[in-house]
Amino acid sequence: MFKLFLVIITLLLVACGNPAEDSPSPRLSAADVLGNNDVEGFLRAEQPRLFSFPQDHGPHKGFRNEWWYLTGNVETQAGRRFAYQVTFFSTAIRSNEEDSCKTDVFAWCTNTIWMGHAAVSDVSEEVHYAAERFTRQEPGLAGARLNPFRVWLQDWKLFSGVDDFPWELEIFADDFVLSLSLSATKKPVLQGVNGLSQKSPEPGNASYYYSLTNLETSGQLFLGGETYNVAGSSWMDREWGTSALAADQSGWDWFSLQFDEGRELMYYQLRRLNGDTHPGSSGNATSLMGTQTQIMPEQMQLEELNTWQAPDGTLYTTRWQMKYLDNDWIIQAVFEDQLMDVSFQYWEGAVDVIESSSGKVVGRGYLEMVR
Amino acid sequence: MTLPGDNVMTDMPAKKAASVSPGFRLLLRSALRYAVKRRWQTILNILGIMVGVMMVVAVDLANNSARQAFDSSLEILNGQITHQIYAGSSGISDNIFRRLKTELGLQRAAPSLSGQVRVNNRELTLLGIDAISEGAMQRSRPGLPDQAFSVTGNFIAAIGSIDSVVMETNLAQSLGLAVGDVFSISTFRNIQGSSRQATLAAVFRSPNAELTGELILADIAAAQYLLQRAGNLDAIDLVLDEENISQIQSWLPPGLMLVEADTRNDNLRQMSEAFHINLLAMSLLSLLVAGLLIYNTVTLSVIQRQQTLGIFRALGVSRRQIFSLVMLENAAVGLLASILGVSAGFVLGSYLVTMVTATVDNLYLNLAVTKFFVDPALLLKGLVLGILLSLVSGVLPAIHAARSIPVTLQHQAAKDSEWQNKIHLLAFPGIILLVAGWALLLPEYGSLLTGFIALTLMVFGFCLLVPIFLYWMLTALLILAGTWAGLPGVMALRNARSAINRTGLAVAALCVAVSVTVGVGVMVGSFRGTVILWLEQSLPGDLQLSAITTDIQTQSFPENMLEELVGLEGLLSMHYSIQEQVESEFGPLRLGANNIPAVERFYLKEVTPDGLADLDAGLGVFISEPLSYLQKIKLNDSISLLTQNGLVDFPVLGIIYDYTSGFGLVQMHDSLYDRHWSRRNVVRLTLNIDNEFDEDTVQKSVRDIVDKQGQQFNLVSNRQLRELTLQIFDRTFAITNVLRLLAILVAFIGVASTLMALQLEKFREFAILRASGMTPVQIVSLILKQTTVLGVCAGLLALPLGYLMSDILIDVINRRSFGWSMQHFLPESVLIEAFALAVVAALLAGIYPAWRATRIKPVLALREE
Repeated sequence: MFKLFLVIITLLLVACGNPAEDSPSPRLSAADVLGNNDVEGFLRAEQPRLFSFPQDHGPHKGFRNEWWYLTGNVETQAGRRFAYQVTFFSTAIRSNEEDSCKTDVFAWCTNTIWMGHAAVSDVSEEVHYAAERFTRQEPGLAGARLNPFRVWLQDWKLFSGVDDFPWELEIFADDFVLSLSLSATKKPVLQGVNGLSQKSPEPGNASYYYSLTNLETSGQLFLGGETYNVAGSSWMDREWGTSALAADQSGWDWFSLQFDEGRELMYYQLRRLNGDTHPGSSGNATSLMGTQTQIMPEQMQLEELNTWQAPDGTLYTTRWQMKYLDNDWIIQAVFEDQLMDVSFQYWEGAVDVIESSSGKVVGRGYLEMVR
Repeated sequence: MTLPGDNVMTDMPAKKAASVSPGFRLLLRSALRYAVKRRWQTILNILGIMVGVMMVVAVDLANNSARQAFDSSLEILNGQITHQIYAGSSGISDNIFRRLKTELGLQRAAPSLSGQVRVNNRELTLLGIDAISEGAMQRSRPGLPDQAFSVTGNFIAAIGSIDSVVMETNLAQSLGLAVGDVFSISTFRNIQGSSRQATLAAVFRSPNAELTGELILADIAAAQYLLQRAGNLDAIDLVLDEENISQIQSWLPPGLMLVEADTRNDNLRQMSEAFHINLLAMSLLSLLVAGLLIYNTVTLSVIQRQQTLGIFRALGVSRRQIFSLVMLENAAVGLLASILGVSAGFVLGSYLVTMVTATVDNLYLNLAVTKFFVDPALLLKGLVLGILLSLVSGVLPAIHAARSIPVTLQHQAAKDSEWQNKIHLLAFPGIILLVAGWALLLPEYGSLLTGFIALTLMVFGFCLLVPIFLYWMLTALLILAGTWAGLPGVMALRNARSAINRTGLAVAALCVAVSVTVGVGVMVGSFRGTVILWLEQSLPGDLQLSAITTDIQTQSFPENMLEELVGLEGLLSMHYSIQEQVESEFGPLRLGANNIPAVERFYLKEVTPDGLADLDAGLGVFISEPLSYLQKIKLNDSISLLTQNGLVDFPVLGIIYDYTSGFGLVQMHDSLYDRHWSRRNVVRLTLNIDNEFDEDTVQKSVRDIVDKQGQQFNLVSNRQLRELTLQIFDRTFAITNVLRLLAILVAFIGVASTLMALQLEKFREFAILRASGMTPVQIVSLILKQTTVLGVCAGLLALPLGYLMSDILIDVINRRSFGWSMQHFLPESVLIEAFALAVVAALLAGIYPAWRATRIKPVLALREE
């Protein structure tokens, strides 16, 4: 999903001043930034493209934004459940055309700023731990590359000995350390129309978007002085593009669901400033064999059943009813406070998928809400 | 205070008497009339205190501003950090920062790089920032932009760019720059400097603009580009907790050092403190002169009014009241003069501050802030000091006044001759003080404070000897020039000798005043002379060639250029020199290395028997004198330097004179350097010209070869280098010269006012002389001769005292403050200047009394007799 690169802007404001004389608040609205009109010199996601792997796991130069975004539900052999999310997000300050780093003598010269978010949900204790990192790309403080595949932000890294799986994820935070091994069980799922995900009507307000909907996951989690050997399933979203939101869009709800029987479903609904859903909403269902079906907004019915109020007063929906075709599910947060209380606040946490008719848990997943 | 014989009105509290008694009001009126009548004397008196107070206040304010600038600069450049990582050599590699972040994941770490630059002929500090690292650093750096600042332009555009900068709105305006403008920024790293183009990406309005008023902010990438420091940083700033410290200590690659920020800053601060103490001492010396001046003039005013006061005593005015009157006069003069002095000091201080900060800047730390900070407490201190000084200096004369005998006729002459016998008694304590002062100076490593105490003791001791010296001088003059001088001359000399209690005091005051100018003048002259000598001895070769940019990657001399130079006719030899900063157990030091034979390139102070040969063989190092003195390192000791293999002890083979900066200097041979450092930084090429060829011609040929490389290299002759060094020297010591000029001013006022008072006192005598048939011309001649003789005596006596003072300043004060020792030079101009000052001031002092004396109406004057 579109991650929160406005967080970066927020940070820059705190660190070095306010870019706009007329906006005294350091917190910008999502539309201010995601709808950024200054796209001069950047490539844009305008046409469908041919994806090829593993090359597309690596970086795509020329676009403003790109991210590697992992969520997963894991548990110990004894059945103690945890969930995690890790994001590597990069944004360019200037387009390549304006790039002044012509000489490599000046190692600090950089176009790109990176943000990292990591969180662990301790489901049985109902505690959520979050961490955040920022850095400029150069001199080698963060980056992404192939041969072999590697994405890193300071000492956080997602890497492989070769270009393909398994990948290793290493995250060091104050509260926890994650060391996981990830292997794809299905081929990449191209979201939107053949991987071109249109976010608002204007051409180019889109991204290239694919997902690895089922990554077999195993490894270790260090938390509270204990080491847990965990295993489970992860999901990775990959997106790159230059601009996304239109002026009347303000946030979104994003679901990534993995069903026990081997199907996956991704759906996002964009929200208007007044809270209504925006017709740009979209999704995709993946069958056991990897067959994809695009989900149109009119096929999806989402109802908000229960909300949780963050300390700042923002309401987040922690219990949803989702009706798709002839399915009827309840999407229930595993616990309510999975708030990402970092530079930019949002809610991101593990959910259970419950069949409405039987009340049985039929899957697990992740939910992100930006308000 | 209880006064002897103060029992006439014991039942009347003095305070009540002072405010109510009509008699006291009468006294006040008489005092006022006296002050108006002797207005020139009153004005000079006020002026003397005023200048004294002015100097103290100005120096205090300037010192304080420089200290504040020092602290603010540290605050802005460092912020609140706990540690810094320093590398040996010149700067820390970018690589280290990357590894610190990617291997250790250290969050509260930020790169640090700043330097002096010049924009539109203004000297500014360019500060490199990695705004993203700063977010995690969370250090307070007052003055740097945060969200409270209003910004015009695009701040974010500056991030990661190599040529964008931002600055405070007012600074941009004063430089005539607007957002989007492209302008030149040049560095100081080379004599001719070289510049690069920068774009002003944004301006911001800061709530504390005084902190950022001389600061250009740039991304760390732009800082490297604009400061021409590609590839390295000054340091890495850190905020660490206990756990981090040990983690980093064990991780740190050899060649790097983890330093506590406070310790390092305190070292720098202490070094610059010695300089501030020196300035303060000079200003206090002037205040001391002002004190002597007050004592002198108040004494004279009391003597002059002896008769009036006697009449008041006869009328029943108590001793306490007369004492109060004189003290009240002192307080009034003190108050008025202090108010004027504080005001003038405020104005002068705002000029001095640039000089003081220039010195601190040259010697210790690049100051990013140079603002005139006014601490009201310092103004109050000046005011109180001035008033106290006038009161304390006036106490003795006031007691003297209170002792006035209630008779109408005074026997002044009888009293004066009494004094002639007492001057011998004064000489004994004088000698004791001199000896005590000398004894205090004996230990080699004394404190600065004992140095100043010794100086004060010796000055006072000398003062007590002045009356007897003067008596002898006058007697000798009477014998030598008695007949030649004529009647007025003889009278002038006899008169001065018989009034030795007053003339002695006046001459002592003048002598101290003038000697300050001699002492400081000789000191600065000696220093300058020494620096010239040092430059001649320690600058090898004839031409120095260096790379203009100091980017590591671009720093080497092209082979083809070297080949051409080798083939050049008239060029005898070439040597590489390496200059960089190295960390040591004593903080940062400068390190120099080359393969020029030691004999040719050092101004040696001490050396081990085989020191020169051993240095050439790479067996040890030479260290600079300040380093040796301040850190108490002796020959054959060793010094620990941070090399690329960690700390290494180097034997000290010699101690060399060095006057380049407050930091220490370590010199070694190339071969030793190569063993411990693999990277060669800031390479300079020293060229020797064959004596048989014309220097200018060879220099021109060299320049032609060098210019073929474009604007990459900088060629300077040693002659130019010497001139430049002396320019920097003069800039560094400009403040000392200003204070010396002010001391001259105080001295001048002192001489004039004291001698004028002496003459004015004698008016009745002149009237009698006129009545006895002396012509006005003869009286004028008498007055001018007497003031001149006293001026000459003061001038002559000031020379040995000044020389003594300069000795103490050179060998004790400067050494204890900076660790520098210097050769003694006696600049004749200083001596002539001082002597002329005394004589001219004395002559001028005689003019007004002489002019008044010609208008005496003997009859009127005599009527009072």
